[in-house]
Parts: sequence; C-alpha cells; structure tokens
Amino acid sequence: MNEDDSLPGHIQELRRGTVVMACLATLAQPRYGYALLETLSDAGISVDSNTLYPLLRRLEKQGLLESQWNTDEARPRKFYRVSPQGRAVLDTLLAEWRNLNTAIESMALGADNDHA
Amino acid sequence: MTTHNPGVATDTLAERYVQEVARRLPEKQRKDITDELRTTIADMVDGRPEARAAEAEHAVLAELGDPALLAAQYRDRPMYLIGPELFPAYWNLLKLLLTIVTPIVAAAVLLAELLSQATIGAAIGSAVVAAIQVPAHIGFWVTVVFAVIERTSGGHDVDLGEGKWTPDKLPERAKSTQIGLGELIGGLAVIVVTVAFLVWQRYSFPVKTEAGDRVPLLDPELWNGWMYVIFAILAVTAVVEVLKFREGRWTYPLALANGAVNFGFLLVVGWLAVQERLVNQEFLDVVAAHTDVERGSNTETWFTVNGWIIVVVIGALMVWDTVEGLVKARQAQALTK
Repeated sequence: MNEDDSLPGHIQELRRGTVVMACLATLAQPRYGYALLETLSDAGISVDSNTLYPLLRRLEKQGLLESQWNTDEARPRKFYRVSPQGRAVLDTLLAEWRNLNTAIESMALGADNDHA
Repeated sequence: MTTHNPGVATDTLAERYVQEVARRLPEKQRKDITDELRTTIADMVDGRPEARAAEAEHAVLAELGDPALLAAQYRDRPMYLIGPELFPAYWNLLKLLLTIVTPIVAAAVLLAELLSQATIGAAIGSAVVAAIQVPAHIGFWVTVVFAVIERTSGGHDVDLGEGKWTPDKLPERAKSTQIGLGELIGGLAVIVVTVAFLVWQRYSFPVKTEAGDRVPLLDPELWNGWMYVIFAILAVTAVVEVLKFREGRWTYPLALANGAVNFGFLLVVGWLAVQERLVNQEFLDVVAAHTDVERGSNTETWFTVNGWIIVVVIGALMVWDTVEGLVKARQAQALTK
C-alpha cells in the first residue's frame, strides 16, 4: 500500500497544529531554547530544531511569550516564558482542543461501531 | 559585527554557520538571534552522543539545515515568488498578453521591414527576433510586478479589479460544438462579401493609370475562365455551410468536405498566383511607377515572390480552418459517446 508515502505528511500536519499549544503550556515555567526542545521531546512532542527557534520568536512578536536574557553563565541564554496574553490564548486553544478531541473520539467510536 | 565570545574560535564550522545565517538577517535582529543561535548550537553539541566534538558539531549543523532556510524562517519571508492566492491572476494575465501581443508585434515588425524594402529573408528574420524578444519581456515584467505585489500586500485579499469569483463567471456554453444560425449567416456573409469584392475590383478599384483608367487588382484575364472556377468553389463553400447548419454540429464527413473545398481553393488560387496570373500586372506597373520603385529592385522581387507569399498565407489559413473543423468533429463525437 502507499501507507509510507502519505502517512508522514499527515502526521506532520497533525503535530504542526499542536506544537504552539505545547510551547505555551510548557513555558508556564521559563525555559531556554534547547531545554524546551528536550522537554517537549521527553513529553513525546518532537519538533524540528529549525522550526522551534523561529517559532518562539514569532510567538514573542505576537505577544504570547516574554523573553529575558540570562548572562550568569559562560553561555548567555535567552529564557522564554508565557505572557498573560499567552496564558489566555492557551486556555482558549485548550478548550478548542478538548472539543475537537471529544468530537473526533465520538466519530471514531461511531465508525468502529459501524465496522463491528 | 559579533561580540567576541571567549572560547569560540571564529573559523569553526559552527561560527561559519552562524555567520551565514547572520548575514541574511535584518540588522536589528541580528545580534539577538545569533547570540541565541550560538548558545543553542553549543547546547545541542553537548547533547549529542558522538565522542568527537567535530562530529557532533557537524551533526548538529546538519540537523539545523540550510542556513538560508533558517534565516528565512526567522524573517518570516515567503519562500516563493508568487503565492497561491495571486498565481491564477498572474498566470491568466501572462497567457493573455503572450497570445495577443506577440503575434501583433511580430506582424507589425514584418510589415514595417517589408515596407522599408528589406529582403524577405531579413524581414522574416526580424519578425522572428521580435517574436522571441517580446515574450521574454512580457514574462519578465509581469512576473516582477506580481512578485512585488506578493511582497507588499502580504499576498492576501488582493482585488485585481476582477472581484471575487462567482458562478456567474463561468464561460458560456459557446464551448460546445453546436453550429447555430449565427455561424451559418456569418459563413454565408463572408462568401457574399468575397464575391462582391471580386466583382467590384474589376470595375471600381481605386487605383488608376496616368491616363485615368481604373486598374483592377486582379488580372482581368481571369474573367475569361478562371474567375468562374473560383465562383464555383465559393458556391460549393456556401453549400457546405448550409449542410453544417442542417447537421447542427461538426461531423467527420463535414470536416473532410470542408477540407476538400479549402484544398481546392488553395490549389486554384495558389497556382494562379505562382503563375503571376492572379495579381494584375498592370496594377503592379502602376504601383511601381507611383512609388518610384525600379521594377528590377528588391521590392519588385517581393512582388514576384508575392505569388508564393499568397500561397503560403492562404495555405496557412486553409490548413488552420481544416484542422479546426476536424478537431471540432472529434470533440462532437466524443460528446455523443
């Protein structure tokens, strides 16, 4: 079957829709770029590094994140944290996410019942 | 430039990578992004399993990918010239301009060259050059304009004066191969006008000799025989037109009949033209005298080659018409399946 051809694309599309939520949720605690990447990866959300870093800047430009440079260590690090506006957006997104989840679950359940 | 970070050599792979990204970034954001990037790369290298630092560094940079693409992501720039929203308008405009402007310009160049007494070869050469240059210019400028629009309007909600598409904009069913009354009348009108012209030019053509006599365009000798052959062919053409209308659409027999009549016309007129029995020699004399052209010069040659030009032009028209009929016959047949 052609499963191998189209499946990765569909999975990528699915993940792409959720990475913003994942970032906003995880950044309730301030983190820097690479640490965030690792945290997401450990949680099962794999993001490309060359996607994540520009994304963080985009979210900051949209006012959903705040950033601060930390120059304590030898390597200066830019820490990101969710802003109040970002917190509000996250709540809305999560509500939407739960609605979608319920809807799709019931559709999938219905489909299973049809097959059974 | 970059701040000097102790411990970071300026010719390492990582530093070269950061520079490649940096030079594509706007001045304002450059330092912030590159500082972060440098640290991130170092962190990623630390996280790699490779024992040797150089290998780890290489792997990390490979993972980050083309610095040009990374910079483009940071800048949020479109990685295309013309986006999907603008593309249909762009493509349609391009096709329209190319198909209309190129033939007009090529024909104009050809005409201008011929009128300025160039040889046939040179004239055709100039027309061909124009036919190559014009599309290049059109393609370039239209593309540039649309690329600029894409980047300034954000590519969204661009109203090019055509308004949003609605179902009312669908083409009419003139695409069908039905032959209606309009087409019949048109075809017969052309034949009538042609006959009228042939008769008119015999007696009332505006060109005159020195003595004041009118000079017909076409050889008056034709009226001793060949002109009636031409009339006969025109009559057959009229019959074909009527048959087409009665049938209602193109069929293969009709298309073949059409082709046969076209071929007959070409044969007769072409043969006469090549034999220099089509255009009136007296007419050519008068034109030559009026335009101070030596009858042995290039233009004279043009008038003589004239016969073959007539053959080529009429031949092209006949071929086109015949092919069109055949194509429509095939379309009509496909529709009835």
